[in-house]
Amino acid sequence: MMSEEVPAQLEYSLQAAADCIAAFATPPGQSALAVLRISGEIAPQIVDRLFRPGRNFKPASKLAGYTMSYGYWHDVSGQLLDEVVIAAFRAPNSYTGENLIEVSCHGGYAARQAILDSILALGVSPADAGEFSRRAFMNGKLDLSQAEAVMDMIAAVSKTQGKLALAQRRGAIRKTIEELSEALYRALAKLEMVLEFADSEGFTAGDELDREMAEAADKMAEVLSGYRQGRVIREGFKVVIAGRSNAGKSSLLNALLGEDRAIVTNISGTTRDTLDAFFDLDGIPISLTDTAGFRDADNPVEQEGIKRAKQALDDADLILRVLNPDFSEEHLAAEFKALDELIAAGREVVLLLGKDDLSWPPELLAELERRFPDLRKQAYSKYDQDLLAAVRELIREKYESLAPAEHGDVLLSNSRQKRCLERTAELLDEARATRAAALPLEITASCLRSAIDLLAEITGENVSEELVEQIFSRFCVGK
Amino acid sequence: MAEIKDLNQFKASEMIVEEVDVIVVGAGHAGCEAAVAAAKLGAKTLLFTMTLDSLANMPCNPNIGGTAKGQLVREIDALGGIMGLIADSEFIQFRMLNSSKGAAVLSPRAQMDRTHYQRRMKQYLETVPGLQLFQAEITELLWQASDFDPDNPFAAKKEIIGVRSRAGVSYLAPRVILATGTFLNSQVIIGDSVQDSGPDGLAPALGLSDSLRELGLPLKRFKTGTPARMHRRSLRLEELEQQPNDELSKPFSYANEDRSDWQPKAELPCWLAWTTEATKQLLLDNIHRSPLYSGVIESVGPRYCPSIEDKYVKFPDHERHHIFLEPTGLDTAEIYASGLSTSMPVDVQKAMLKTIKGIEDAELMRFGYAIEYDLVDPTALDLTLSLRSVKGLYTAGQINGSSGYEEAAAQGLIAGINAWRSLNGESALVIERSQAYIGVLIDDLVSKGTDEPYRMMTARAEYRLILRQDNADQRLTPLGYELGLISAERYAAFQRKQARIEAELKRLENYRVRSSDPKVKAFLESRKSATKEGGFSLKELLKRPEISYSDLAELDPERPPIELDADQKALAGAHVLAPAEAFAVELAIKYEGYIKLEEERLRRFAQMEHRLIPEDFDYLKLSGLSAEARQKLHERRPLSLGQAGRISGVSPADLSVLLVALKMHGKSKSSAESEA
Repeated sequence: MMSEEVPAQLEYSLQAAADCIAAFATPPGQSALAVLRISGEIAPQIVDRLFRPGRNFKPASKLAGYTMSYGYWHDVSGQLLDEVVIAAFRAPNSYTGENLIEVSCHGGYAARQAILDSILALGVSPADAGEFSRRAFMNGKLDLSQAEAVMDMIAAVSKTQGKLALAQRRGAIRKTIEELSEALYRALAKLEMVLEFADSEGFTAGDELDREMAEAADKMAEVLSGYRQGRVIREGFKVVIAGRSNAGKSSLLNALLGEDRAIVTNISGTTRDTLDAFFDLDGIPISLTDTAGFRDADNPVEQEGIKRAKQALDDADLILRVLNPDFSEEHLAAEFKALDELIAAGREVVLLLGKDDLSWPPELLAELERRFPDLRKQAYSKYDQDLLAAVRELIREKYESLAPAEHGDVLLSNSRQKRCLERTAELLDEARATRAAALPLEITASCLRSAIDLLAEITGENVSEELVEQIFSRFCVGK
Repeated sequence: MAEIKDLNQFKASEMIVEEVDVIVVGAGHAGCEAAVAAAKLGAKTLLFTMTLDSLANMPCNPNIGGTAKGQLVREIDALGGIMGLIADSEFIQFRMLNSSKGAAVLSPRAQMDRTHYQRRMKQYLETVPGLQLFQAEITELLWQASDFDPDNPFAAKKEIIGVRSRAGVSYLAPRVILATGTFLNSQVIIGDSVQDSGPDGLAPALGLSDSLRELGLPLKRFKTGTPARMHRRSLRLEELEQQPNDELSKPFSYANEDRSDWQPKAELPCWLAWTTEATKQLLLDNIHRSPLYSGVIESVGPRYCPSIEDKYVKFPDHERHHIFLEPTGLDTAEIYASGLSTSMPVDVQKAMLKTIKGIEDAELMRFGYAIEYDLVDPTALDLTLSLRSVKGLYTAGQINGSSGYEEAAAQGLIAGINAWRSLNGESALVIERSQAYIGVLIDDLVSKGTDEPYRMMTARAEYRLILRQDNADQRLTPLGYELGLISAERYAAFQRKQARIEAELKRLENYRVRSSDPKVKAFLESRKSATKEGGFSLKELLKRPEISYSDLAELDPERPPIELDADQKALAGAHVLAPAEAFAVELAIKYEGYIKLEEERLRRFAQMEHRLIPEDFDYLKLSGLSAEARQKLHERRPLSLGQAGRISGVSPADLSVLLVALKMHGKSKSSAESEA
């Protein structure tokens, strides 16, 4: 009874069409291919009206889930728009949990827009930001922590980032947090027995309770220490190029990026204005920040810049301090002071000695060696590929000393989760302190309950409005 | 047939004795509170009991209060209920439990002179204007179909109009509260013997269960039990450890607190006995004869108040369990054996007593027994204790699956208040979980339901440091006054008390001592307390675990004297503090940081509690919910997102779906309105 023909007349209401959503899942801009998604109960019927299958291929409504078809896309008037491949997903086995068709078409801007317009012309709604994921969530396909991880995955710029987000999507966080939470519940249950029953019944909260809490605290500390590594993976290894103005910072930045055009994203308009570029150094996500040099500290605009640069320096995993031999005595003194401060603050600093145009007087190099014997120094030139490769190798070396070789233990990757867990750890410390101070058990129990509550917020087990809002507002259109 | 098609015709043809505002069926602890509250608020109220000689009975342990239950009694009193007041007149032993475990779990518990408590309650009920006590067995409910409510498609389709007695007499009221305790189709079981009976040999209530079933209400069956009573002269109490009255007895009612004219009726000791290995052996050898294990009892008993045979089966490691031997009145020799509840056959019961030192030769006066009874599944209720499917019908007490006099009284009070308020067109009274144990109790029953007789425990409260027995007045008396159950006079006294506490807190914050002062130095050294530069406020010092409020008197010459009758003395112009006020001051300072932590947690909780779900919200259209959650939410119609989250079967994932859907619902509604 399988008919390969498209039904002549499709029966659906306008409302059913409006309940469908469509958007491109691939980012705007020129590309070879682009993927458009249309989701909703009657998505296959909508597609039937625009998609003419090639010989021996099926129309969308006849496709089983997880199968594809090849054919031609037309607009409602019948004009041919593109040659496409469609993939069918059947409710509930699709990303959104609804019937969903993915259309792979050619990537030119005008061609893409024409295809989307042809769908919207049938009354389908353009998808809002995050609407595909929200539908997935509403249909029980994603829970909140998974939704949050989806967001992280879209924003991932490197392979390791993607891996972490995927692990999270599969519920690695959830499992760890649940284990922690079970340990705290066990401790609380012991406490409650003592509180609830008369002394004569012989329940006591002893060493076991303290051990349980101590173990949970250790585990939390472990997860939190993994956060820095997780953050490095998620937000990139933060390398800041610092130095006074005209020290050659921008040229260094360009030189470093010039070789790494694979993934470069410019982030602008965020509050992190000093953040300039992301690049992928053989799988290592690097965020490279160029801080402006400052001359006039009284100028309010520059003051704001100084503040931001300082913030960037505070957050940096590695500071590349750029120095060129084109300065006066006065500048040199200022440079020494800056270096002293960074070293005193225990920051990871490497001194990059530029030699693009001028060469270094040997006595100055000796002076640097004398003053900063333990500071790593590296020569570079934007013209010398070997020296640039040495700088990249140096970044990689520093990265590897900080990031773990195996990312299996890294669980927390965003600051919301980290804040929650830090606060939980504080409350657990508080609970342990009440034991040490021999305060009434009910106080210990209260602190433990607060800790358990917060822990549940990490995974969304404890549902709160801000959390839901925060997660869905981060989504972009098409996901 | 109890469905009335034509009310006028019915009225003309029936024997109708009374038409009132509120009918209460059953005069136990729930019924009495319900009737008094409704009548005091202004309802013409009719309270039915099967026999006027057994109202407010305590067929199990004649004690009021205990862990978490003591908090409930204080809350009932603070809100304007009567249990605390009656108990204060009749108590013969007082103990404050858990004093070693902290201020929040402190729980007052008092042994009652049982029959005198009943008489005192009856006497009280007889004085309440608008409250009519009446002896009759109610066997039927009368109802009719409701008019369709166009604003709420999910509103009740039936409404109550009254009750009918076994004698065929009808009594009409638009609000009926059922407080039938353990009487519905009750059966008493001792070993193999099963008989239709209520507790204490009273008649069971037959017929009413059928009426509830006809109304389509879900019924369940629970079991509870009680131990044997023994004659005092047969016990060798002198060989047992005595458990004396506390040094100082304290009343339950805030109205009696810190008053020199309040005295306990008596301060008798109790005794502590222990079961032995022989007890364990005997019970386990005979376990096949226990109705619980032989299959005679199939209903569910309480986990937290199990029979002695149950304890041995469930805690096989415990060789011995403690038994409290407690007086049941001043004019009776009957002794209650707390902890020895059993439904074993009589020969095993007798043999069991022989294995316990001090009561080997006990002369039995009543056997222990188990009792089975019908109840309404409390998940059929809303948070006002009104049945969702029958307008005007309320249930309170053990009929809702709770156990305990205090739990019953708390529900009675809330049902009585709400019955009157809904009749009067006033907003419903819903006490939140963060406000009182009463709120925890009702929300647990209604939202979560229960599979066993529900006993209050402090662990059930999320905000235990806030829900204390000492501050129930702070939490509930303003509300009681607003409702109209707390008199203006009592409210004014409450406000003066709070003002004195506030003033003392402020004084301790502002009063400073200098570290260089030799008296201060010596004081700190003697308590191994650290010093610091400059000085301290007294509040700072009081925060330290090693320093108490009474310790600080040394450094605090301006402190007001702590005296009984402080309120009267203060009215006469004296600068004084009552003992309870001094306690409140000390606690407020010592617990300040921890209470703040709890309040922080409470704020997050309150967000969900205050996110109300519209009455007409259609869960069936929400496909993202699991099938179970969708059905349960549709049936239960929770008041708020918070309540929805506590319904079993509603997962956090369901809840977040609901949250997002409500946001969208709100959006589409407001945009529809702005378009219109």
